Amino acid sequence: MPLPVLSLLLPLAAAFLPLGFYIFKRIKCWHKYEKCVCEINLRFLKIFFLAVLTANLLLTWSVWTSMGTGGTEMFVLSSGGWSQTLSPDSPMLIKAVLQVDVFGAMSAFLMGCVALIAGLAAMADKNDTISLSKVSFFLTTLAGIQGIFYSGDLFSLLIFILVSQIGASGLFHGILTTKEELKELIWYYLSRSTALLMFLAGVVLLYYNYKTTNIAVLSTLIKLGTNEKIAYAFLVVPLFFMFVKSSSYVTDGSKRVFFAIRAQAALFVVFRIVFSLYGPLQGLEKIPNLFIMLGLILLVVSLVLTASERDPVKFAEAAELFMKGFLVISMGISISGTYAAQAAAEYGFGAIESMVALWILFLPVSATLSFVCCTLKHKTADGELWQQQGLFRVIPVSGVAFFFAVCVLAGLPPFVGFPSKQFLYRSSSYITPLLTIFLLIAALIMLLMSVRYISGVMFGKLSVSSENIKNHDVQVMVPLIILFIFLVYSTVTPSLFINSMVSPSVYSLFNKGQLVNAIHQGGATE
Amino acid sequence: MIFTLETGYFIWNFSAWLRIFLLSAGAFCLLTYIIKRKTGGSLVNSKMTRGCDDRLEAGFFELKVSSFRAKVMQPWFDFPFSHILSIAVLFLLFAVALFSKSGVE
Repeated sequence: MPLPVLSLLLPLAAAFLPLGFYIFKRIKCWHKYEKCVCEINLRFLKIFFLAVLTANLLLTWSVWTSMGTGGTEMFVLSSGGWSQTLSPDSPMLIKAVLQVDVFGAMSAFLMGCVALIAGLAAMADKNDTISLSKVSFFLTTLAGIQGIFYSGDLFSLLIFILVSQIGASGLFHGILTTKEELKELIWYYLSRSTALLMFLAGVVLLYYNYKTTNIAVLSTLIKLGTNEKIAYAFLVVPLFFMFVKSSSYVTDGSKRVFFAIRAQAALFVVFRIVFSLYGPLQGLEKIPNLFIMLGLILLVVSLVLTASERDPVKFAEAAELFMKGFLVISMGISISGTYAAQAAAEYGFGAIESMVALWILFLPVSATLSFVCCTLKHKTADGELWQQQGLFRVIPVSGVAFFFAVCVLAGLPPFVGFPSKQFLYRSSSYITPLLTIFLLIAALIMLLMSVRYISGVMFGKLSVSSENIKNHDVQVMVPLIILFIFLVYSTVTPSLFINSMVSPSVYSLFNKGQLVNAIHQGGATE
Repeated sequence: MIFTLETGYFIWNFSAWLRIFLLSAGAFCLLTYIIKRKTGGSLVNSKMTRGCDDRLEAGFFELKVSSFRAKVMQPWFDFPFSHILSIAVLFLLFAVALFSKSGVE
């Protein structure tokens, strides 16, 4: 069995194991008219969870390292078993189950790393201990997202988005306590169902016209008419929405990280549709401006939400929105830069590199912010931890990680966020210098507000009551240190970050014809 | 040289960055020292902070932004159907961008 298939099946099978056990127990209790108490040895559950996440990390690492630079592989399930060779007879009939390229493989590995980190934090959490349902929903989300990264087909993308949505809904459902929250939950399910139905409508429209939903094949056939334009809106809008509104107010750090992973995966699908499927077709010229406008709105909203915000989780949400704003603007400039060879040479590729670099950094930075800000929400005798001052003495690791994450987020040199922002500033000046000035000012305001927030919480005189606060860093110490190492390592070796992660991803994102050429050569890959 | 890293797009000169940071830190320390000597150990003159609390007070601009957030933005975020509304607005925006003929040469 090919490695990507194994890497996909592992979390899926592992998710069903605890979920099946949980359902079996429920049915057994229901049959005996007893109150269901689903007890399980926590140590065993933790070992199982850790083993699955570690195995997943090793598998995704193997897939990524076996890809080389810019290669693409397809895996097809036929009557003869798994095959890497495609028939050159008819590209229209291709039903590739999995299609792995460098961008997808790198994304899956990055996601595997962050999922392991989130899993470690969930296992160390004493306030909300790990349970059967929590493990199975974490793993279901993981399996769905892994599938998204390894899919080259719109229909399989829909299936995996649905799987990840089931996992995320399970994580969201766990925090339901009041009637208002139930009402909110109904609207939540309604919005997510609408989004999935819209995506399905887009897939059906394209299938109806071209009799295939394979992205590589579609990209060579597509001609922009009314149906294709409607399909474009149906495919992009729900995923863009899922990216922007990825989570609700959740104070569990590990859950927030899984929601961030999902947001990143949603944008990955948008990249696939915008760059790999449609590309710079005539009739889509206004889309870059729309993305830039939406990005500017996100930036302004994030700055307004950050101003005088005291709640750390809301602060983290606003900071994430800031990163999303920059990402969407870079996407708009990137699309604009692909319409002409001169534009591509002048600013297009710089913008795309910036977009991919920002996209890679989104997950580690938002994970760091989530862990730190959820630590600040811990209960104390006087309320919550963030209401105290001088917390640097109590939670030094969180303090340093918070500062580092903010510097990366704002693109302060020489931190790793700077190269991506520098690419973006340079590219945006070709659109209009006013955009560059706005982006610089927005980054500066964000940095100032964030540093002020950190200093307000971390420095100052430690109150008498807070001197007895125990060290809350302990629970998130290992996850934060791992994230910190990643950010520091990529800061001191920017060339490695750009050359091994960003550039190959950009190459595979744009290499639309490569797959079709591979098909005609009988499955030969570059 | 180990202090210079070439990424293929720009040259990352660590020693230059280090010099800038050290220079900035030096200037900052000097400024702090001069101010502290003039004010007798405090960074801010006591006359300027009369009646102020230890915690930072929100400025005029910050208050306006907070008020805008609370009165204009928050009610929209609090609507239970805000998610559906967002999807509808996004779809409308994309439809306009895809089908509008104005501005296309």
